[in-house]
Amino acid sequence: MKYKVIINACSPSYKARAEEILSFLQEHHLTSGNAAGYNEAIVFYAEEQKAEDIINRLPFKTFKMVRIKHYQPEIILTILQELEIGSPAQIYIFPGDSSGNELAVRFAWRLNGSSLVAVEKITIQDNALVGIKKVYSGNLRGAFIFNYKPYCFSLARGMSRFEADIPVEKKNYTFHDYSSKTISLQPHDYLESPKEEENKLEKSSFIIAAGRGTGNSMEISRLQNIARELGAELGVSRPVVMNAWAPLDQLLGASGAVVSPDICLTLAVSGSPPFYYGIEKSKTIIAVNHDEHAPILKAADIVIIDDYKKVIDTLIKLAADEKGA
Amino acid sequence: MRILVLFKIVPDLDLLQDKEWTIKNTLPVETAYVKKIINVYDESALELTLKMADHSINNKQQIELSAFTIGEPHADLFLKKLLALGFNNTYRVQCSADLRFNPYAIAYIITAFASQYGPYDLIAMGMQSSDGDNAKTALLVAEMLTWPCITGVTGFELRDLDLVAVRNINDQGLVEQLVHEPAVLAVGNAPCSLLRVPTLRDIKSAADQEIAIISLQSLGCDLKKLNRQNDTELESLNTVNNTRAGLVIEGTSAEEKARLLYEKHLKGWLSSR
Ligand SMILES: Cc1cc2nc3c(=O)[nH]c(=O)nc-3n(C[C@H](O)[C@H](O)[C@H](O)COP(=O)(O)OP(=O)(O)OC[C@H]3O[C@@H](n4cnc5c(N)ncnc54)[C@H](O)[C@@H]3O)c2cc1C
Ligand SMILES: Nc1ncnc2c1ncn2[C@@H]1O[C@H](COP(=O)(O)O)[C@@H](O)[C@H]1O
Repeated sequence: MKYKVIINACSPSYKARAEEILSFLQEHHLTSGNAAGYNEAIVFYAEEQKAEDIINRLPFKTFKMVRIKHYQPEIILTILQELEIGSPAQIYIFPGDSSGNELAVRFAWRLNGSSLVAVEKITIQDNALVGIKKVYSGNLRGAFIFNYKPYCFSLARGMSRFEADIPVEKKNYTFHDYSSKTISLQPHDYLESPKEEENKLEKSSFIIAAGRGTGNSMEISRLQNIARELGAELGVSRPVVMNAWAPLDQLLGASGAVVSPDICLTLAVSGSPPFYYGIEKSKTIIAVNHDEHAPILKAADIVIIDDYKKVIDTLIKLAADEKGA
Repeated sequence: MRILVLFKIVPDLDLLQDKEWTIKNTLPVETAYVKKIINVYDESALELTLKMADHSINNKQQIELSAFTIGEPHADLFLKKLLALGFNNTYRVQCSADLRFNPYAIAYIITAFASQYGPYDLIAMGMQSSDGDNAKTALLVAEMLTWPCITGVTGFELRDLDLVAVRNINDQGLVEQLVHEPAVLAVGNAPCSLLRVPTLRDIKSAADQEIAIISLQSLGCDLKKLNRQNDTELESLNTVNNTRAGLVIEGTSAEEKARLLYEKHLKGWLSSR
């Protein structure tokens, strides 16, 4: 089946998302026949001066570089429609992030196709596409049949990545300037522009994850300091963010960051599936919870059933002694 | 300004134990006995809308709030609470069909309702439901109405009669933008947006306000057709296995356990970094 990949290079994490797609393509044996103009990527970007860097870093051979004014889904959708309507591919693959989800669903709607969000795997059964994804807040996996072509889906967040370094001279790309494109739906006047940073949690090799059981914002700021001293990043569960004890970019989970550190130490986290989704790629999970029935204990490699405060206070003391010695 | 907030009543899945998922490996999953809650993102959408209305009272802007759900009578308790909290109108489309995995049908019904009972200037809703996990309905509603959609919304307030300042988080980071109505706001993880609790006085004064119950038929919706037209179809369900070794560190005190953890599992790794 002919497929295309859509990349939002306005996002600072576009390279990681592209590498996830590449790994997905390889696992599904979709990388062969990467002939020019056939299986290609469509890359949206805004800043002219970043184009060269994007071309260098992208792990794809054949792609279109489409310049837009700034990230706005409605504009991207209109351009995609213009580019694709004549001879659409059968499959459109979107990245595992919020723009990927949004564009997959809306693009499918516009082309009378079908869409699925957060797909982990696909199979082809009797010429129809089946997508596998988590449902019931990650408690189960469902297999969904796509009914109408084109099949549009976004990947699940934080899938494995494949880093490929393709020399520029082997890359085949064209430029398309839509930066002056406007549409009648013009909802956005930006009051405050986003900061251009990749999430620190995604890159960290040591993460301390604090849950609701830590109790208040003062305790969370104390844990921020402890994490810093141990050389770790602090991530948190949803209730911590909802209570505004920590900022949103520290959220771990299905609706937050998906991380893959060497060590993830969870403190007073129950381990519900939407949270666990964020840390399940950790090499080693160490959980501290005083409730012996907390689900996190079975889903961790090493556990301490006790008060997390006493445990972390002892750990920081031992680490400080070690440093001083 | 007329604002419509959409919400769904769902089972509180946090209360289910692992074993209940392994034995319920059938289609559809039975959750009738589990305590019901407002879907977490929808709860935030409701509270953020109330907050927006609180502020606009000072600005003397006219705001009419409506809450809407598709589902069974157990939702009426929640609709009553919303009336007590200041919603002017509450609607429930009576539907006992299982539409958990048919966001197309849900969006279609919402759109049919909005065109018959509207026009609305703003639709606020959640970005994802906890049982369906579809994350599609808000986007489909926006497409069907040909309205813009802002996703991952964390807050919004009225700036002018037809201008809303919306904060949201997207792949670029936190953004604040001015949005001209109409628009769909799909609410995500919004800090400090737990739904407020009505006072006894609020409850009393809303006691004789009615919930409007609407039939699918009156909206021109045919369930059979909506099921047939769904773009994807759930074929099977499987359990997810997250089990790891779960090696318990034993000791007589928390300090001793922490020391064992440090010596055996952390010290070497920390110093080798
Ligand atoms: C659609 C949807 C998406 C979601 N997305 C996310 C997401 O991305 N990320 C996320 O985190 N959640 C998410 N959630 C919420 C999730 O379902 C859980 O509600 C949440 O993860 C629970 O957080 P918690 O473990 O911190 O709190 P709780 O479940 O309340 O657990 C607190 C734990 O702390 C323990 N504890 C308390 N005090 C101590 C102490 N002194 N010492 C040791 N242990 C102690 C308790 O035994 C308990 O197990 C989502 C939910 C839905 C419906
Ligand atoms: N039965 C329903 N009634 C009202 N709103 C709903 C219903 N189902 C879903 N929604 C809305 O659609 C959002 C996304 O749901 P979903 O696409 O199923 O993940 C939810 O957060 C709700 O705001």
